[in-house]
Amino acid sequence: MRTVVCLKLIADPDIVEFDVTTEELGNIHTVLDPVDQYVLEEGLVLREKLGGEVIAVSVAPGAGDDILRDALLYGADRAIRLWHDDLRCADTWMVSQVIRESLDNIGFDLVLCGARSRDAGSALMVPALAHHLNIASATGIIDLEVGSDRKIIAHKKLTKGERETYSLELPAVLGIEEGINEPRYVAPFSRIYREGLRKKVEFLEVDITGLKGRQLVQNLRFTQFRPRVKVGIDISALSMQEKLKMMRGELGREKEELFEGSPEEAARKVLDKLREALK
Amino acid sequence: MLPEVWSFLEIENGDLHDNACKMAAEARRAARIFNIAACGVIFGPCSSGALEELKWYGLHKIYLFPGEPPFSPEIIARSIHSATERLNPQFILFENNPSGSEVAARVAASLERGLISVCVEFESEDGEPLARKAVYEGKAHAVCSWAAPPPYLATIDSSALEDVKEKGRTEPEIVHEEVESGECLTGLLRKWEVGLSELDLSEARIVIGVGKGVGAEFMEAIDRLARSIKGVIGGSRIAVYNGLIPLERQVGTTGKWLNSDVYIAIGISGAPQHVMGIKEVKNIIAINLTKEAPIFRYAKLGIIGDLYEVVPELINLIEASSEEKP
Amino acid sequence: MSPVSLAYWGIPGYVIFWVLSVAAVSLFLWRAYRLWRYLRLGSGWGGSIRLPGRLLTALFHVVAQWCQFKTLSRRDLSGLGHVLMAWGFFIFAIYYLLFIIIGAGFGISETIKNNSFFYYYSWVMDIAAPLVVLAALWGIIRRYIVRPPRLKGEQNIEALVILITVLIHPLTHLFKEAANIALGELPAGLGSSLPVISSALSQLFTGSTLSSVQNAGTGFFWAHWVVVLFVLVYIAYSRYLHIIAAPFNVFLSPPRPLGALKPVDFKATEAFGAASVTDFTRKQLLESYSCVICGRCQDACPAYATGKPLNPKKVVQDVKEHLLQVGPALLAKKPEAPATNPGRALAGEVVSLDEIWACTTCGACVESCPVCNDQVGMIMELRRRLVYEGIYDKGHKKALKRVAQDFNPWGIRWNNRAKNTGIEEARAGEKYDCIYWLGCVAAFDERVREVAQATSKILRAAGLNFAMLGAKEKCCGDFVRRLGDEGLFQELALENIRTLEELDFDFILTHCPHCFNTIKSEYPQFGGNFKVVHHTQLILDLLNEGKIRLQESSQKSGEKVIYHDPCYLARYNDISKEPRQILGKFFDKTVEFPRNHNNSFCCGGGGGNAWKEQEIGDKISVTRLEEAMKADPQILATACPFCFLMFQEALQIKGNEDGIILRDIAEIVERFLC
Repeated sequence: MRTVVCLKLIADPDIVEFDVTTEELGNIHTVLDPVDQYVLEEGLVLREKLGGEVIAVSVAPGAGDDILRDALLYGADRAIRLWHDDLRCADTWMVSQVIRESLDNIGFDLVLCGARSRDAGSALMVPALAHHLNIASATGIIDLEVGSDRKIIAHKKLTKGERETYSLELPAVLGIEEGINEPRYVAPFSRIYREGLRKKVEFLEVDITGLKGRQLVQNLRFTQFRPRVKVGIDISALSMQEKLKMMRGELGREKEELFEGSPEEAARKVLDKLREALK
Repeated sequence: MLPEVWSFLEIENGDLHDNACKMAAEARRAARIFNIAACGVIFGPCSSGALEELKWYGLHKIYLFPGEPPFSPEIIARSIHSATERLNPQFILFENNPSGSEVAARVAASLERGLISVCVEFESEDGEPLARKAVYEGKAHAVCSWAAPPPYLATIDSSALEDVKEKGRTEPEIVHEEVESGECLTGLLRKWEVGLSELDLSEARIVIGVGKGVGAEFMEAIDRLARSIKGVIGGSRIAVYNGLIPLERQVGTTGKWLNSDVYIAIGISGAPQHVMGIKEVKNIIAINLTKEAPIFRYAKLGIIGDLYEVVPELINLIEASSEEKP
Repeated sequence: MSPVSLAYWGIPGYVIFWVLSVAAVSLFLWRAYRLWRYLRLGSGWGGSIRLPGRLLTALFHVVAQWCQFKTLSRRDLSGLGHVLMAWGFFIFAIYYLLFIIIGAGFGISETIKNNSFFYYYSWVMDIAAPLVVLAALWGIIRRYIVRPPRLKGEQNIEALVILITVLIHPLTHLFKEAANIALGELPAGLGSSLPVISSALSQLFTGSTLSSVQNAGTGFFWAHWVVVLFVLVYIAYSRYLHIIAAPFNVFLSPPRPLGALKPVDFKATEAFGAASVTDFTRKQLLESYSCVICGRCQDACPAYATGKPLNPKKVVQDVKEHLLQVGPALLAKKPEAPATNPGRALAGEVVSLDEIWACTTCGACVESCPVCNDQVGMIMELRRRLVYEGIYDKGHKKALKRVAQDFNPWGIRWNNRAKNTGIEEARAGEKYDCIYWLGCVAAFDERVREVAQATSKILRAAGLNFAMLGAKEKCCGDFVRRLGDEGLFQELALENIRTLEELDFDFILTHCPHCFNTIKSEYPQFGGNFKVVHHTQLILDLLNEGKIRLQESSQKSGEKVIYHDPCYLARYNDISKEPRQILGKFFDKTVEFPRNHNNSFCCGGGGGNAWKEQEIGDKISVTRLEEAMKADPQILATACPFCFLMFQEALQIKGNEDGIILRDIAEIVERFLC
């Protein structure tokens, strides 16, 4: 079975800094989107169960070679980088078309992506690819069974511990949720790593003239974070202190309380707090 | 005819589910910002009680798609797609949860229209609609625009939602639409809940943590408490060592890091290695006998008392309470 | 008349003597040669030897039996038994060579014996023989009746045969001499006093006929010689092999086996770690030959003591057994053919995964070994192999993956390293007295951060200009290397060295013995040559030089403090006096653990064990804490952040009803600062 795993290069969101005066991003360390570790691992797990190939693909500038090389070192059979300089400001929709083109060349049974990326978080890639390819899709998948009969049972993670179970057939696109598996560790110069060292990252220059249409959304600029003013608060009635608290998103945060009393009263306090917390 | 903003309102067992009311309020809010009409989109049988409640949100119309749930995202998206082609809404809003975001993305893909997700705010600039979203762990806001023609699709960050009722009730027009069921590429087999004992700590809204102060015989009571509030049981390393909980339920630096809504620390002293795992929890409630226990420094509500007395009282209170627990 | 010159059933004694002797020697040589060839299956000898120094050490170990004296303790004096046996062996060996092989064998015994040397030598033999008999009896009683824990399960045939040969041959010698004395064949030369024991025994022959005494003498001669020949052959077929192997092993052992592991040259080898015995060095295989299964390492091992499957003694013996098993098959192939590993995998099957993963690398086994074996080194090679094959303990794997991504074993984002320490970040171009290397624990753990803050206060009080690396510091890689992940370790080392080389400073200060050991002993392997100081060393110097002012009170505190020696400080780097000297300045009463200084019992935190999820048996830290609690201290002091974390957890598990306060040395000193 040929599984294509789509890897995304993002600016490490924990490390990146935003300068409020210049309104510019700094300290940009490009890393693999954390969810894609689980995506690659799932591809490798499926290969162990069903045989076949795992091909890692990324639409990224030069820095993408690093994450693709890591994918090879972790055991992917091939790694392909797709790029054209005009894609620098491309949105998910454009990128999905680029990936679709490459999939036509590569051939596949299954495409795996992260359910949503850590930067944009639109969760658009999976449905977009499914739409372009006119194949089945499911996203937010926390558990997966692929049978040798090409049938898939996928469990989607909802909120509050709920699940939806879907059945679909290959070829398909699946959006992988973090926690579906335990990503492996491949030590430098271990056996798998050595095999990966013998492989090379491939590069395909994208022919963007074939891309139908421009972007569907545009990122205009970055600005300072501003918490949403909740309607239930009359701003004019707030003191300066409270206005500052609201700016920091701390308004409405009750003070910590320490209670000592009868078990009945204590239990009541706990119950009230529970109700409040779950509102 | 006023342009419309459609808001996808989720229904479960005929009643408004989760943040449906907040999404209705969101539609009204967007309607005010852009001077358009707020409408709701509902799939499935909707009880009269639900419709009554929606009268408080100033909705102009409610598009009702009848049928037997559960509906797969594919079917919902397909139905919204065809309704959109006929009725041309200007905005379509979804909550940024697993189902909403999938439907929004499917609709955006099939219509080839722009989708801005995890929005916290809408704005108007030079007559153009804009959306704000938090990026990079909330370090900044990105201001985005839709580059494609309407409908403009968006998913709303749950934390931005607010339940705002209008001053008076309005009667929305109920429009019955058709569900585009038929051949599907993906079939929804069933919707189910993970049992509390299998549920991962990171998914639970309420986690109960047991520590050194809890004896093995008391775990039955803790179990009962957990079931009554639909909470999952975790604990400190000592609890694992004492055999109260399995290793996968350990919370702390070398265990799980929680970001649940509630963490009830029972008989836990609050050692730094444990506290590391609950730093992101929104509400920490602690029950401990010692006033000096470090856990109280991190708790929103600290109960200085004997857990063997407080917990049974709590169980009684919850079980006796007639209200539905979330 | 030597029994050799008689004839037996028509066959001359010489013939019998030489046939037997040559047969035995041949058998021995043949087998020894096989063993030598198996040994040569190992990969290289691994390292060079500093000749004069090491030769003296080896002689001291062997001839003066330092190998035994160094392992003596109040609880275990059995080494003395071996001293007697070994010295007896040397004495007897000279006798055999001179007086039996040369003397009797060549029929010139009368000539050879006709001098005072032989006279005095007889006396020496006469004293040595009964001592050896006593030692043998002691050995038999101890092994088969007393059955101390160190010899648990070792009541086997081989040991019994050996002990009985040790018992019998001096006895046969004594009775042979007794018979000679009874026959009037006195040693010639000065004095008429006869060797005491033999003459006493000769009384047994009074009243016997001449011929029966002659027969007895002859009988004891031949019995004696047969036993000796048997021992010669048995050297090549039993743990007696150590007689030959151990002296060379000691000679080839580095003076400090503990400290630095050997690096892997990834450019030179495709794989790493020991898949087969052929991947061990010949020195390591020689170690397996030298092992006498004495069990001292087993006794010393904290994993074994707490019920884990690891037993260093078994690991060494497994290597030897595996070598003897696969050796013949490997030798049968052409010498140029690649070595395959018939049978079970060494790492994972012969030595099980749980055994390999239970090691804390504390080094107590190495310290305790009389023949200078490096058991930790063998385990490290097995661990490396598991890493090469991608086989991990779950907790270890998580820790390694987290270090690979965020340079600390907890996986906290690397830009959060060393926050809130209050220490200045080092800048290029500035000259510092020292760089304070925090290490992962102090950089990320709230409680241990206080140790760093206390140390900083002391440094400031002394007027030292110091700074830290901040978020640029990465895990030193100690536990990474000791889990077998040499590749990741080298990456970390090279990056840290590069960061350090951009700065200008006199020395690196650290409070963590693991970071201390790695940066000091292992970073030089990659070009990082820095002066490294442990904070207890620095603090003692500052105190002695009066560079920090303490509070006025001249009275020492009456609190009882017990100090735990961290393995990587005391055993690996011989730093155990300094912390005590510091404590001695502030406390009246310092008590010791039963095992202290170089003999310290591990806290269980080293070798990656702090990250192991599945605990088998008891917690090592709890076992050690229980020892402390018996002394009823107020303060438990240590000088290692891992020991700190381990004891912190142990106190939680045991419940700290007595309110023992856990403190690092720096925190204790800081309390007394002005």
